[in-house]
Amino acid sequence: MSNWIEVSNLRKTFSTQGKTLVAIDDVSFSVKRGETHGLVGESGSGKSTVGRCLLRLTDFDSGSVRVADKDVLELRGRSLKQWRANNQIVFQDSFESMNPRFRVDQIIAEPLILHTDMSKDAIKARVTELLNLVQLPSGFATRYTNELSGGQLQRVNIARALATHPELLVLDEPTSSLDHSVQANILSLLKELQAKLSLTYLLISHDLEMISNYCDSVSVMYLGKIMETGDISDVFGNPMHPYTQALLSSTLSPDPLVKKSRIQLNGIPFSPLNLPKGCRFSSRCNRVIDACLDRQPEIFDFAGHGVACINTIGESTSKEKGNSNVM
Amino acid sequence: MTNILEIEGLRVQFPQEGAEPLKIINGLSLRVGKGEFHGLVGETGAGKSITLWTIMKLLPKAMQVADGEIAFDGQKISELPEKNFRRFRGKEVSIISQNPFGSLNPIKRIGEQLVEFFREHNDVTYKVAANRVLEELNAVGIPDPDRRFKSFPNELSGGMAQRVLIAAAMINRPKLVLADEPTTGLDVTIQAQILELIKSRGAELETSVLFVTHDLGIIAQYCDFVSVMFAGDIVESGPLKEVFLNPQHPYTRQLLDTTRPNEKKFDYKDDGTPPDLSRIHGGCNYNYRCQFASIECLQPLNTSTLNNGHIVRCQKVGRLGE
Repeated sequence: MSNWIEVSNLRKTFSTQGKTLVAIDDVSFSVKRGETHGLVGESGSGKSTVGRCLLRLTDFDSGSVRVADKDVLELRGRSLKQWRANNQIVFQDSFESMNPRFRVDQIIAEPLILHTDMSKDAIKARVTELLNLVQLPSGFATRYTNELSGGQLQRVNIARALATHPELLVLDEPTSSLDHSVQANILSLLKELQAKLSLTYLLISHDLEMISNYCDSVSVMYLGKIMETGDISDVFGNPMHPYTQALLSSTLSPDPLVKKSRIQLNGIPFSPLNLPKGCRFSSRCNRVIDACLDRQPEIFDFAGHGVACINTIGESTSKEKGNSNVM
Repeated sequence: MTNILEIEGLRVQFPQEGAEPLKIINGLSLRVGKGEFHGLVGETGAGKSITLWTIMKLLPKAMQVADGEIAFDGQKISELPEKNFRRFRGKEVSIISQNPFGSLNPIKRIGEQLVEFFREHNDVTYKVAANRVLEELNAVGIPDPDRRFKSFPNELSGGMAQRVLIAAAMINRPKLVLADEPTTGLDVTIQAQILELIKSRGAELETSVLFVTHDLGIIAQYCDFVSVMFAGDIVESGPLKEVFLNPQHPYTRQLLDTTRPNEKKFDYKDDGTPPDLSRIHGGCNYNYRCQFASIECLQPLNTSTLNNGHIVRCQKVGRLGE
């Protein structure tokens, strides 16, 4: 099957304080139709910016984004509007992303009014159908957002995103403001919807446990660059980049009997306004060598498992021996 | 082991005009032993932060303590005069908050802030205090403390700012540190550093830590004791392994099972709807989300004590069908 999303050499900069901030640099990944790709990294690593570029909510400096074989930069006017109906986003803060003066039915109907010429009755029927789809009672249609709990709000948020029958959803930290038990419910709802409506997801999160449970493939970002990318079983089962290894070793098991040896990282991250010419993880890496400081490593591809670390070149042959008991 | 903190039957209410008050803390009892790393876990709105504020006597004016007693190191804090309370706050008990930038003065150099904090409780010259601050910054792993002393908060990364706050919390050698989700919003690699730091500094200085979080991984890997909170009450409490390996309250079980979606034991009916705080009653307030609930759950709640001080507040303890 060909790739539904194809991002290549994406670069986006912002100017701030008279300096250039490189938010994302040379980001490439691809996602197959109906699959979930995870973007993981600390705050400020550029995850959300990738999501915004993907939906053309922001323009980018260079590189290309193709979704369903269409170059998103070539879309103009009517075709861009149509494309937006097919590619939607679920924002992190569901309360902030909804108009508090709108009732739930008005919120969900908004994209239908914008993108379709459906009659009032048809819209009303579709709203009921959507509430049903996200497992909310139809009585919620007349409520306001301040009457809903965080989990219910997030369901409304998802219903709104699904209103125009999209094929791709960008999920920007969809559960980060929710409690554990509610998180699990929202994620299983998203999983169900994906199977039912054959949706493709880009899941942005810093929760490694969630990424490992729900994604088919993953890209690990650090200061705007992809450090490691590939199938979830490769990247999480056999992490090769020192950053991914440290990340995975830092996740805390809720089982008190599981004691993992933790890779302790020292050092301070570089400022995104002042990036080094060498590897941007070098200030915190436990395997740094002189060559790391000379130039930014390219992604080396080990049969679909990409790693941006010069230390791993010699290890391609010994890939099997990596630690497999991480998650 | 003696206790540094004993809370007995605490009730905190939020009066509403022309309506029943919101019952935020409902008969909460909690003990933290000397030198203990005690985890307090619960969902948003369970009253975790309110409990910490009550200990520090920092409750917003709109809320009132309706009942209960808090004893710190054997002394009832209600008997401490308000005037002397400043001596207690920051000296005997200190707090590490969730958002370090919200706790630091943005227009004052961090060294100056720590000096001020130290001199508030110690009658020393500026120079002595400054030296002490440099020592403390060094102890929390801040590189180049001399330079960082002169930094403003906005020049620090989140992890560094949190270290500064830990230095501030520890500098007066308190007997108890209240940590209110101090690692939320940090990358897991930085989170690990901060947790190790709180744990090791706490052990070095023999400080007890009451650690509020909703991350069960942190509890499992760092705490000696854990208390699980729901609707302003502790529903289950005890030594970590007793509670996590042998959870007895349906809420605790459900919480622990959500972390292992692939080996779920029950089909929970719990949808996470927060409790209606105006309708708190003397029975079990979790019953509306509990699949084991029946009419007997509305009766006044008992506390059952199991092995090694493992406490459960559920009528049906030991009788939940497997």
